Amino acid sequence: MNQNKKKLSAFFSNQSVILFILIIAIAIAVNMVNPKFLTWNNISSILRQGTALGLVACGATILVISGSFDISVGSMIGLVTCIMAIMINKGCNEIVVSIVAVLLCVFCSLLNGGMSILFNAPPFIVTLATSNIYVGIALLITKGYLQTIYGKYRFIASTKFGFFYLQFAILIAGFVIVHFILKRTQTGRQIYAIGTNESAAYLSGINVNLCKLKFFALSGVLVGVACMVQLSRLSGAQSTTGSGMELEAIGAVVIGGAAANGGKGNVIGTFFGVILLSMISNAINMAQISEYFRDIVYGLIILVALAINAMRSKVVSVSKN
Amino acid sequence: METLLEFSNISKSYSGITVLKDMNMKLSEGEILCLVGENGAGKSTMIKILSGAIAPDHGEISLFGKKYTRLLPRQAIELGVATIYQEIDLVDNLTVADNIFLGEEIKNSLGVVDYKKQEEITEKLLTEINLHKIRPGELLSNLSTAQKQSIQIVKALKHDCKILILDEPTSSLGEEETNALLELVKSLSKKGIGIIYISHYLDEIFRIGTKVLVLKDGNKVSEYQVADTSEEMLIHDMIGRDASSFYQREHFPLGESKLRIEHFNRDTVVKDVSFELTSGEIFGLGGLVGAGRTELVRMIYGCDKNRTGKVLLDGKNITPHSPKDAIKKGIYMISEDRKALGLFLTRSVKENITITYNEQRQIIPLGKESRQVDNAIDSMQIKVHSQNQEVGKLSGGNQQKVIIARCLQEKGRVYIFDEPTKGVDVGAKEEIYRHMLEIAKDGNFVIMVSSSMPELISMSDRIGVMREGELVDIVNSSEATEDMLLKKFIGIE
Repeated sequence: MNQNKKKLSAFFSNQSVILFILIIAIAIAVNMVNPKFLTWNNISSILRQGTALGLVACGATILVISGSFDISVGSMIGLVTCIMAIMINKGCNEIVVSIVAVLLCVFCSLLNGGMSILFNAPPFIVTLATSNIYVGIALLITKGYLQTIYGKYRFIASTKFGFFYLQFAILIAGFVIVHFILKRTQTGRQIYAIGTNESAAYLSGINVNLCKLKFFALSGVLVGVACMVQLSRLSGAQSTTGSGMELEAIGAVVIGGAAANGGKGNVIGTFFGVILLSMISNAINMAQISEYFRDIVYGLIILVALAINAMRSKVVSVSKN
Repeated sequence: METLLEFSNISKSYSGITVLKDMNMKLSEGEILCLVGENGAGKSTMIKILSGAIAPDHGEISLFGKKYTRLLPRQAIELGVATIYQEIDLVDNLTVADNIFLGEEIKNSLGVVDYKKQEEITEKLLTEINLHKIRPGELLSNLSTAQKQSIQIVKALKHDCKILILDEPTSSLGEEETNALLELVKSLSKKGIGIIYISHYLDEIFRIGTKVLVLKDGNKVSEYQVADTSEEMLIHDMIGRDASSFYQREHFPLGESKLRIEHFNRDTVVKDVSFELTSGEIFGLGGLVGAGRTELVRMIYGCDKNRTGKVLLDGKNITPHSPKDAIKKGIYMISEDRKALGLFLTRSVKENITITYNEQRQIIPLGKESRQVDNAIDSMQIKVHSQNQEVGKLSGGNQQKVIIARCLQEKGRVYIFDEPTKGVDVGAKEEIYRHMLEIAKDGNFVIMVSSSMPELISMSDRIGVMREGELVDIVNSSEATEDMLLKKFIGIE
């Protein structure tokens, strides 16, 4: 009896479960205002809107657990989608463009990670600097103009199998792969180890610097795929294409229960965080609330998530005593 | 002598498990009451009740004649109960005086901190307890660990404390520094302060204690006047079986292989250290804290920069250039600071044990890993609920065993133990000794840095004496005595 009770309370203090309940509750509430909310059409649109954010958040999960951040991913998306658009307009093969996108993002991420190691500076500050540089380059090469691609490069956004969009598969694949990496691979153990205690990781025979580069590269691959999805969906790019996404992604990770100073978290929580954020954005439209409330609500949700996190760790430490 | 403090029938339990049962205790003015017992015996619970961190379930605390059912932290401090934990709780970038007045700065009429007055008062406090060597304006980071420890005491004295609780104050101090601290404690008791002293080092109790209380599983086993007891009696009471603090180790014949440590240098900290050991040998490294022992073994392990030093195994150069490389070449180190340098405290026992081994496989077979960890837990006799338990929740001894298990997941040749039993209780200590001996018996090389004389003498085959960065002497442990070693450590013949 007591055992069951304990299991039950552990289940309900699980961040993912809390988020899931919250998502269902909001969905039902919004559906009462606008019955179109819970139609497959709308749900599918929420998921498609969340695909790019989801991929970026997957990468951010890896970085946050390992104890670092990359706040340049938004600018990186701006820069890389612009380059992709220009290449497409110059007649480049779409597959080549896709590969270049991933390679560029990996390169930019490695640059972030590499400089943070080389200068022994917190990644937060380094990526703040590179964020400006990436946006600047994007502005420079586009001269500030929107780069439309006139309906080319549509296969990612438009491919669907019945009602199942290719984007869902990409989103799910991203999360499944990162989940597998975190739980079942050497890299996963390194991510948690370095995020928990870097000195101990080094002394246990882990090449910490190489690992950090590896984590940044992984994040880069995911951001690269996000660029492909985003360009395909929007059919155009400009320097501000991904702006704000870095903070939304980190927000989703934190909402998902990861510790902002590393060592703790999982990608399932991040998934619910992403769904919650994209759903809110959609719900605000559907419930005909002013678009301007969106950012306020985002901010509030992150604060609430932090509060829940703090309360949970308090409950845990009390029951420990 | 006036009674300062009295516990009557104090009990405390957590979710049904009794950690303190009907405890009775009395502390008088000028008395040094020592608490001994294995980890989990209830010593820290008693301190926490006294410092107000936790409330007892039953019983009564009488403090300076007044009775309380519980104390609050603020209240305890205001009443004059000061607790000094083994971790130093001071700010490195402030001066001694600033640290002492932190949060209670003296301000002049303009509301600006009056540094001069603070330093004057600090100077007076320091002189009062014979610490006039420390200047009030000195940056804290320039002080030794022992001096910092003393500053914590000074800080407590400034609050006019009448009861001083010291929890393992000497665990990170060398022999000489320990002496200074013990003298200080003694002189404080002469001033009438009641002292509660906790230490794993029994010899300290005989040097300063007046009364000693042996705790076991939350019960008071015995209470002696220190003059009427002996180390054997205390150990007997603590663990309920006979054991001497001098561990009786098994001796076995050494092998053929030779490991040469050659020409290790680091500025003024390590000066051209070379020595050789034979397979199966435990080579102890003794010396005062700051003699360069930890710095030397860190270089041997490849985690600190090393330009001149070489590690030769039967003539073959295996000098590592990083811990990763060291492990590849079969050199393992169990470092001194378990929590900061060894463990991933919030991660599971499983992950902590396999972290090094997993470096050689990209994808981890979870079932196989789990069986591997079960075997390790069995053979090391680590006490855990499950292999998924957070390692931070284990006792010091079990944590140490987890780290040793990590280093045994693959066969190595050289094992370096830096203070292997620091903060480990008597029972677990012996188990760790047994594991070290097994490692040596397998034909490996063991280098052991230790600040505990009994440990050095009873565990080592030979003892290298380091003084101010130099390896000044190597003695056979069969001929070594505590007295002789201490003289060599300090440098008096």
